[in-house]
Amino acid sequence: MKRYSGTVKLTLNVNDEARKVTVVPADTLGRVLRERLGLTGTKLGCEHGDCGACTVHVDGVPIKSCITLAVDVAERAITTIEGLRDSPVQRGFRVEYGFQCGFCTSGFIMNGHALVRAHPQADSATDRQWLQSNICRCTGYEGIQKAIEHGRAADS
Amino acid sequence: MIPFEFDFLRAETPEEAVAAWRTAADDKQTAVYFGGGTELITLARDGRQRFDLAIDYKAIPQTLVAGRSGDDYRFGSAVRLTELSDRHAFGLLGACSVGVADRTTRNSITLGGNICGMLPYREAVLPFLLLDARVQVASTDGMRWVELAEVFDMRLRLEPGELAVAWSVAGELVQALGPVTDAVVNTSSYGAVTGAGDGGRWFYYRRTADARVDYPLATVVLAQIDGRVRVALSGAWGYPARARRAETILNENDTLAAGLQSGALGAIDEPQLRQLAANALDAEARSWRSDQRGAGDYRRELAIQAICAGLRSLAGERE
Repeated sequence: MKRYSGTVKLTLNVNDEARKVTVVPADTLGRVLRERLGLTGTKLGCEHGDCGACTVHVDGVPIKSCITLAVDVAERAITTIEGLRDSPVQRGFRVEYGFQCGFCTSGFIMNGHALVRAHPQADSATDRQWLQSNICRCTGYEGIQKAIEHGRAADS
Repeated sequence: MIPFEFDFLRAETPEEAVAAWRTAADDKQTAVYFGGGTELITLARDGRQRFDLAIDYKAIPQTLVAGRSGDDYRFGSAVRLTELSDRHAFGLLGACSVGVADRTTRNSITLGGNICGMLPYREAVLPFLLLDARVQVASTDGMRWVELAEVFDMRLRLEPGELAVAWSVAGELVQALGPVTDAVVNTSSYGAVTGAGDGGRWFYYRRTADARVDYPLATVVLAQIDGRVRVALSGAWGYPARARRAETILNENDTLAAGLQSGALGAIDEPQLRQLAANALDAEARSWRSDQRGAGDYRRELAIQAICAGLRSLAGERE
């Protein structure tokens, strides 16, 4: 049994680095990544679990960091957009112009990266189900879809 | 951010969890059980939920089981909904899980969190209601299994501080219903999934107002096991429930029974089938949920249509 009470010192495994951070249990992972660790590639949009801009990976699984407590993912492997370095899906977004204002982009890339790894073969129903987790206010969905398909092709 | 402070406790045994809850209550503090946290964090941020202690149950081994356990299938409360939907052994549970929220949120939502949450839909409970499941409950007196039907009335009604640890369904029923055989998504707001096993069939229907990721106007599940139809709904009444009176009406209709057995409902024309479905649902004598997403009459109509489509599907007819 482990209890986190008041201000606690936590070591988060972020992008393969052990990062020491001071938090309270009420701190969400998204806030901690941005405000304590300076990893501002993770965007906070709705902070309600709806828009997906805050998507990061925990143990390789895409989750929404705005509705995840930092203390809940201590001892887990966290990957943010800064941890993906020129991945196929990132290249796909560049080549296919998969972004407009760019605010939703890191969330889409994190989800898309997990998607093409989990499903190397294209399957429109599966893609649609996964990508319903993210919202693009610019409505650039066609470019995003092409970017992820590009990433999948390059990754295979 | 969440505008109040609380303690976070990771319990590793059911005993630790319920003892922590009891201690907090004795200290006049509010404790909550914490699964994925998606609902609690959202409500806390909005000021609609406040607690002093969050007791995380995801490190309790009994909450992590998923799959065959002796003669039963057992699913722990900490199993994520995506794990249930990606696992096809219990196709109906997977279908009901996919209906909840979006995929990355379902990567966090736990089975126990969905069923025991404050939001009224609790769609993951539908297959358990339909298949006469049992729930394993931890309390300060120890662990016990109880019939879900005895403790579920609109929501799970456990005693304060009790923890739902796992959910169990007879293995023969899961195998009778089988995996997904077909899935239809006609529009972004409508989906139907069917399945069949070695002794039964099932049908899942979900309709939202206009977006796939939304609360349901009506979620309707039907199963046919041993020649008898079972029905459960969520959304339409604003809470999940097994429709036992509706089942009685349907199962007492000899023409329907013959049609289900023969593989086609040809002897029942569409108006007759619709009337039968309406009579069955009205026999429940429940209030239809009315809100900004849909009026009660509309939800009733959707439920009638779903029952008709479901009965045709159980008979083996394609939609």
